[in-house]
Amino acid sequence: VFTAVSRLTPGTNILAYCVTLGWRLRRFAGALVALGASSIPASLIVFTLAAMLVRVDRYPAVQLGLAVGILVASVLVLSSAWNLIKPYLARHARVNAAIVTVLALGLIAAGATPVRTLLAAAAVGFFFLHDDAPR
Amino acid sequence: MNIVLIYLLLLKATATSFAGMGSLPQIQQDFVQTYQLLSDEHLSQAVLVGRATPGPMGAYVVAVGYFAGGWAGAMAGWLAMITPALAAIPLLALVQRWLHLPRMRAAVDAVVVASVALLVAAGVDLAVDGARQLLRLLQ
Repeated sequence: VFTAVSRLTPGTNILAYCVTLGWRLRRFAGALVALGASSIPASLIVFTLAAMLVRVDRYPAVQLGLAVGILVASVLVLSSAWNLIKPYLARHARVNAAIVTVLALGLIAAGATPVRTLLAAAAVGFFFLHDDAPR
Repeated sequence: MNIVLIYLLLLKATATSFAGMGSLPQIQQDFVQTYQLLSDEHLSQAVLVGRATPGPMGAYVVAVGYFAGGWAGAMAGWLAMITPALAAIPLLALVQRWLHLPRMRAAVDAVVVASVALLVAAGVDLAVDGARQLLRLLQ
């Protein structure tokens, strides 16, 4: 149930997962402590790194490193996309996934905003793809 | 920079995504294209910082907030990251009642698949930006 809830909760899945665990153990206090513990350390590191980057990103060697790092990060973003789509490549789910992908790519190409693209996908899923929806 | 605006824009992105990096296309749309609070380069750096850090993948929104509005922007980014997670509490009660409904599952699954298409488009943009920077520096 916790995994299902974290998948259905908007935003970062792991944070929602920690919130549901904390809620189960100590209700609101547990949820808040779990949320803080799972988000504050990483946020502080990100903040520190971003603040350092602003001070050094004018140096050519740093800029070169950043450009290579951005290429690596783009590969990691694409690998995140692959991990998200993998469960939908099962035989029974492929057709629905293909329909939604074509719809989404068409909307992206037409210049639709991400929110509109997601809303259109939700509507298509809700009204037309519910018979053999991916599990 | 208006911190409330940064928070609301980041919240819009995190609240309409179903994965840590899923908010990237909306952030790109709002921060780079519509409001021009960030350059492509800064957004790429924010993603790089977020991915280089252990912890939730969505933590890159803290860097986005920092680049757009300093330390207060970073705080807005953190708040925007954690706010949607609180929705898990009411969802916990609703899920057991609604999750088995085929229409609900199909709608959520369709949103996840569409978010992958958006993420791929954003990832390709990021790669193009990185390649451009690299070529510029090597010239």
